Amino acid sequence: MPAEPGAVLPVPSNRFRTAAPFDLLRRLFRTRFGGIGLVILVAISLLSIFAPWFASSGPADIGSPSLQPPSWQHPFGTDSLGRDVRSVLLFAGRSSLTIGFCAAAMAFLIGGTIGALAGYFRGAFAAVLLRITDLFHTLPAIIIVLFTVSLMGASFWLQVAAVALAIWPIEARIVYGQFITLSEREFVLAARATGLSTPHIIFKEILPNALPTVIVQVALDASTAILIEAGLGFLGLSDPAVPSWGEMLNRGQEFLELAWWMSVFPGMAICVAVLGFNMFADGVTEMFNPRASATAPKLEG
Amino acid sequence: MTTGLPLLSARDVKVHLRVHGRIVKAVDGVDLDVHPGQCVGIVGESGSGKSTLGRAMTRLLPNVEIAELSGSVRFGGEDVLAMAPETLRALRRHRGLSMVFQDPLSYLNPTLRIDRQLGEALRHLADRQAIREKSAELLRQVGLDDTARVLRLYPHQLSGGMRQRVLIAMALAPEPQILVADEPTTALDATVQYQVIQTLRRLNKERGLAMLIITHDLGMVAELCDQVYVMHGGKIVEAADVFALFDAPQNAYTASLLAAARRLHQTKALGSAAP
Amino acid sequence: MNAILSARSIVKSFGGRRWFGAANDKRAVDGVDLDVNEGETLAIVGESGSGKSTLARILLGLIKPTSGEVAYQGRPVDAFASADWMTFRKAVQPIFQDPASSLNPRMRVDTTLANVLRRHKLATRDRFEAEITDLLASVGLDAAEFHDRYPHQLSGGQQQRIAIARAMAMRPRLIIADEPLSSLDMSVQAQILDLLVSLKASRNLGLVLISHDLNVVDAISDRVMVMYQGRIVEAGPTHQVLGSPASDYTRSLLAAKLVADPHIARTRRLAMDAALAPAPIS
Repeated sequence: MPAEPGAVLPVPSNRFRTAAPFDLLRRLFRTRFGGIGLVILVAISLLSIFAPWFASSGPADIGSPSLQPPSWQHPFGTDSLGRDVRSVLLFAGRSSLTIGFCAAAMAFLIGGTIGALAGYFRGAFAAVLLRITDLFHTLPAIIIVLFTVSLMGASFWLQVAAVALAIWPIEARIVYGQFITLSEREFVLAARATGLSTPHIIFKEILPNALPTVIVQVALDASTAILIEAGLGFLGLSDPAVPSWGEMLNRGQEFLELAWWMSVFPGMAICVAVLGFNMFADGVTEMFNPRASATAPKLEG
Repeated sequence: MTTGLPLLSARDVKVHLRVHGRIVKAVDGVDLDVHPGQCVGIVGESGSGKSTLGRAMTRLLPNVEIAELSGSVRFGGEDVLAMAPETLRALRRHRGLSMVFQDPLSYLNPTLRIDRQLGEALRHLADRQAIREKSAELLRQVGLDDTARVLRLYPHQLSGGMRQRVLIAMALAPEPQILVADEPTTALDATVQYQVIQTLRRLNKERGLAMLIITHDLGMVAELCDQVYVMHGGKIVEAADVFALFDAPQNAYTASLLAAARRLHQTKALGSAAP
Repeated sequence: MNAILSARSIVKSFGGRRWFGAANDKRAVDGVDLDVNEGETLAIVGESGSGKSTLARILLGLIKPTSGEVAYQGRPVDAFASADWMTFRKAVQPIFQDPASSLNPRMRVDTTLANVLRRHKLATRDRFEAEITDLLASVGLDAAEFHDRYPHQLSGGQQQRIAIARAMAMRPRLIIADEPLSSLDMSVQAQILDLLVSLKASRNLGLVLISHDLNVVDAISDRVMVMYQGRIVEAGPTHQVLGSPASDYTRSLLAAKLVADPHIARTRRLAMDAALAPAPIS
């Protein structure tokens, strides 16, 4: 007999498979780089949060002899002010990572809202929103950030806002694309035909399905934000009261020949953070997009 | 037609796939024969393994994890499954097996015009003139008579039915002995579907091209096929001449499939509302 | 006989205006009138590009027509206040072609159904579970087994049953089904068709069935409309349109219809070949 109503046929893997968090984690670790990315992010986050425990001295301790190369006492050497580079690196990580996460979150809130509204409601209203988005998009991130910072100073939270201002258009575009596509899907049409309310449709029907793409974009935004912050710091425009990796690079500039460790270690830290976010984003993409090679037939031989 | 040696002979073909840690026996011991000039149908529902079988036989399995691929598919005296890659490629280029898939848009290069794509398939011919003439002839074989116009078009400028027929033309380029078609008319409109089916029928009856049609549509099988294999759960549950199958199915599953097809006509007695 | 839903002179064009010159007038639906009466089954037959899906969405109130009017129980939907819309939504429900995409992939079966119950206050919260069990039973599914499944854990037929359960939850008076069987295996098609027919009979449901499958149309519809490139080319009682078609297009659709019977297929083909062959010289 062909399948009875109750029979379950073997179902091929579906990219939107929803499952308990552990199952999602397991799938992330099965991807090529996603697991490594997540481990890196968790590791650097923990190191930053618990910086006082991992550092051998406070960020402002200038007691040691300056410009010492890496040694047992100071694994990453000391800088021009006599600070232990490793300790400063850990504390600086706090601000760099905070900027990364917060700017990405803000960009998501601003850009995501605009993108969602434009994508769901469309029409003239959406056209206006999109033109504004395009306007901000065409301005180079660095220009926006420099402009904001020079106008309003370099205090920490203004920096975060400036970076968010630079990257929200990308988020808006991504969310817009998701909402445009998803609102045409039949389950959304069915939700509308069933009379479900607009907030319900946006938050309960569309958004959960846009989540994989959005998460990837937020992770990428975070890595962009860290790079922008590093650039700002490098140019000497970051908040001088708060140590950050970019600011360390700035200090290390003039000592590049004398004390390479002042620049190399913050540079590596930035690389590791950016790699971590990108690998995590890569992993999430691999989890939710059907791998191209799985669907197209591969000629054997 | 069923006397004499078969052109294609599959014995105990097994394709076991590994999906999320579990073994799925997509094809589980299938025996199949296609004789010269015969049109054979493999009919089954989704999940029966018929597509996997078709792809295994032409060695075009997608890139999923294969736990086991065994059995033999004898064609022209050699086992396709065991062939060396060079031999397989030579076979595909000339007088071998050709396959036509379900979704023509994915299998045509969107950036190349039809003449270039047919030209690719006809690379084995000597000169450009020969290629041009053969391309036009292939298009005529599939009922696309306005060859000059069609050759200059891009895939997206063709209708679905025309695309499918171009795909068949490309499959005919290497002068295959067997054409394997996997759901060749899914997603096509009824009238277009009928044209494609008639094209296939003409190729089979007038040119003697052997065919293996994989489908879930009993109507297509009734139109086209001489011999039918019914597939369910990776196995062949019944194999018979088409008339014998429809008139007197031996297997309960086959009978239920036929009953379902016929029930669609009978429902009227139960359901219509009073005017 | 009262028309639940009627449409007059519906035109829907897509494509914007060009900067200079006339509007880019690509009409998906080009002047369609129809009425659906209480309890009757109206079939709309057409191929791709005929505009049938666009028409379905206009009838469901999901798209606004470029011109023309849709009326529910005699009242134009343009004049609806939000309370009227709620009544309309409860009364006119869709079933779509691809059951997998008509269910939210990240939502469990019971959540999907509960959302509807909650929105229309069809049951108090403590009664939700019981209602959902009844709904699932009415479409032939055991609640204990299916209530917490996600769409990807269901077969095509089961997904379509859930979609039907969702539509039936509001006790609609009319169901608009856009190719509800096309994505399903043949044996499952028969089951779902039976389900629709029995639901129709037990609740005096009206049904607008959009289909390209003339066998199904012949099996269950009272009236048929044949659409081609946005227009109705033929309409009338089913036995008349399919038995003695007036238009060439309908005739070509009928000629293209496949029959699951090799005897008929061969005979028909021989007749067609004979019709095309030149007369023998005697």
